[in-house]
Amino acid sequence: MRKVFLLYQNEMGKTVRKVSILVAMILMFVFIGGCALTYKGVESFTSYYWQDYGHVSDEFKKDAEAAEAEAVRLRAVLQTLDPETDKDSFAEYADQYLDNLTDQTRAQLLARLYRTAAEAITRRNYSYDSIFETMNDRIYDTFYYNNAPVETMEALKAEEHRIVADTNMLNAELDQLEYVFLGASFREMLDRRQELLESSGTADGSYAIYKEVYGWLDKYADKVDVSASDYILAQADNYVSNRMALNAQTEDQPDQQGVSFSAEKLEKEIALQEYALKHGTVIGDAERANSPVQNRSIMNQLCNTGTYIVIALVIMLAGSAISSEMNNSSIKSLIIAPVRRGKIFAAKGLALLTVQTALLLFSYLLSLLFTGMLFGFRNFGTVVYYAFGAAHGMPYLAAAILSMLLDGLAIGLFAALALALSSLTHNTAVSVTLPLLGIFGGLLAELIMLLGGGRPYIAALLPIHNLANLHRITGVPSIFEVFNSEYGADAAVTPLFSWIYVILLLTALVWCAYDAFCRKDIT
Amino acid sequence: METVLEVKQLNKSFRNHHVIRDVSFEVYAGEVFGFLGPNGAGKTTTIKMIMGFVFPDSGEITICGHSLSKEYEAAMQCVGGIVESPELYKNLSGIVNLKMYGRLHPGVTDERISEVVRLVGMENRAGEKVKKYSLGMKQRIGLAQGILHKPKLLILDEPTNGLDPAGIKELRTIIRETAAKENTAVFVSSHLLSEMEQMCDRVAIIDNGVIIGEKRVDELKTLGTGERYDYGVSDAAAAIALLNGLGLAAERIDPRNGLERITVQTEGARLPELTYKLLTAGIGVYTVSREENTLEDAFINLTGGGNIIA
Repeated sequence: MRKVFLLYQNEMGKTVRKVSILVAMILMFVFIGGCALTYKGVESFTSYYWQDYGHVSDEFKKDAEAAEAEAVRLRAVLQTLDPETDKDSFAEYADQYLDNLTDQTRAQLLARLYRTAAEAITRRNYSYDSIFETMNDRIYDTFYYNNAPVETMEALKAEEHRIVADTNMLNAELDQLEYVFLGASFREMLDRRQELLESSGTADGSYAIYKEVYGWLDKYADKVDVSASDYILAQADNYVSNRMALNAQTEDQPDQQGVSFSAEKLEKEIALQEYALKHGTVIGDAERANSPVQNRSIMNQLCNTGTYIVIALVIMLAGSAISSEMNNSSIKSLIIAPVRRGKIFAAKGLALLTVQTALLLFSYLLSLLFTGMLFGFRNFGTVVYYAFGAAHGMPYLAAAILSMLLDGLAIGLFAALALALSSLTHNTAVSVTLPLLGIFGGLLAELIMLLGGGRPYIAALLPIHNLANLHRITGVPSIFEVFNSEYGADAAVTPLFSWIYVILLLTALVWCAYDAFCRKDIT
Repeated sequence: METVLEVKQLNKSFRNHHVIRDVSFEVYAGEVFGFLGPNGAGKTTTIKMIMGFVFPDSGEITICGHSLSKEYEAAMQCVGGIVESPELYKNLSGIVNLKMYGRLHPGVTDERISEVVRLVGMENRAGEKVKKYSLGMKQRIGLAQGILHKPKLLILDEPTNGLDPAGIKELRTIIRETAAKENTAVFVSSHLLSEMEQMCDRVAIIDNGVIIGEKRVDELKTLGTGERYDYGVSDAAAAIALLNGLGLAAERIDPRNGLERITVQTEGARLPELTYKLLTAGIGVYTVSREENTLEDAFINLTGGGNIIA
């Protein structure tokens, strides 16, 4: 063992020297490029929406002012008309007046909505597109209905009253929205919702469930990050809907999307949501500003990019580990040392493993650093997953390390392939190219297809893609498979079979490399 | 005398081509053993088998009493050397290469590394990267690596390649001193026969994968066919015809000072008679000189002429 350790020290010295310049270059590139692009991206994204919403808000304000002036004029005209004698004229002006009133209130509401959105974007660096669109649609829906002609002052007053009532309702919703946009505390939002719930009452049986959920959330109200609060509340709504669906539906009934209802699936989802709600955390990978999930999303992207770089480096190192020494004959100085070839091989393998792990860890720490530098060092929250019949939580950073280890195992299999090829062929080009093609071949194929498709094919060159192929080929489950339980009863192969496959594959590749290295003549 | 290297009945084939046939020899402690042969004779293949690069099809190699196949590490502990050319990590300095190699041998200290660096005359350049070295400098560091752990068997394959005359002389001195002072067995293969003559105690000659002779250098020199005399004559062709007619082996050799020259294998006692006969046949005789048989003569004699450089 001592000799293996001494050889290992030698191998580490050589490998680190080989890899250091390359890593330094890549780091510089990633750091400068990544920071510049991210900064530019965030800046342009924010300013675009701010200008857009600010401008739209000003336009609506002008519309509202014009409509108000017109309403004043029309009301003055109406007051001069007698509905009995000038029936047709009155009805015509009354309709004009009501339309104008509708336009005016709609424009005022829209101006307020856009202003709120624009301010929120500035304050929070994020566009609440979906909420904004929803509110916008509701404003339009509320005011665009077929209105019967107004023929009397009573009817006119009733319509005015209805429009005002609609406006008040929308204003109340906007108030609610402002809580979200302008960052009310989670407790405030929760209290408000509880008040609404208690005042409205529910006929569909959801009241009890809501009360239960708010009870859970109350314990965590002071701990929840305000930026995640609206999503937790959305999650609560979703949870209640799910519980209601589970109560109402049966296995045979397809849901609204036509997908067969599965009580098991829903129960799993409920278990996950229940866990998340009880622990004040967030499920899913939605991208939102200043939330743990946004940081996770950025961290995931950076980690993936880092992993691709590590794959390329490790395969280059493994593919050249034996063949380059054979080609430049430096292997001779190792062979004449008083150690068996098996030990030399073991030292090389250990050195590769160490370098790969160190590079992955380095990439992970670098991703953490970049994420913190760009979006602030904050709590990354908990990843919720379903396994062994119950929902569990794992701190995101621990999950990221687990993901790194799983990726590392998959990369290790490709590195073993490169090492085996290097040992069998003594040809570095073949040993490096074939494994790289195995991983990046899909991207290459996509690029070739895109070249004919007229899409922005340059995107295919970006390393940020998914690592699914790496895991699919090697049989090593990805973190998503582990967390989403896809790598369980639902998987095509059982975990046991999959792990046997991984171990056999790794053993076969390492044995090939070992056997060729130890038994081949060095001529 | 302690046997450091014992090679018995080695055989090796590459793709049905039998390149080494029943090669056997021994190398003793404190001697410099030369391994001679024309290109493709099997010298390097034999060395590679001794150093563990190539696995023999059959036969046995024993180093310091340890079988190479069964006690590889113990056997290789006694070996140091250079095969073909010194192979070092080009991106590392000479001194780092030596340190990396020394790490695998217990007892190699920094002082020992400095000592061997001084011994091979590389103390001023050892800190530079190997890729900046000339071939001769690489040879020196390779030699330093070979003797670093004071091996009992030092194997040097073509060690004078790339060395200037001064370097060759230094190398010869180092080898002789290593053999004498540290009682190391030195196994040297080279094409430079003159160097081998001066460097080696014993020589084995290999041709077509077969050892065709193994003698002490002084014994081998006498393997020539008797004494040899060179004549400077007016008509070389007529002289050769006359001497061949008398049953003597005579042949033309390179002219010197404008004179045609021949060489003849004969005894000194017949010299007056032969000279008289040449003169009476009308052939002018201008010079007569006695020549020593060299290792080259023995080599050519044994191998029937090969690709060697005198």
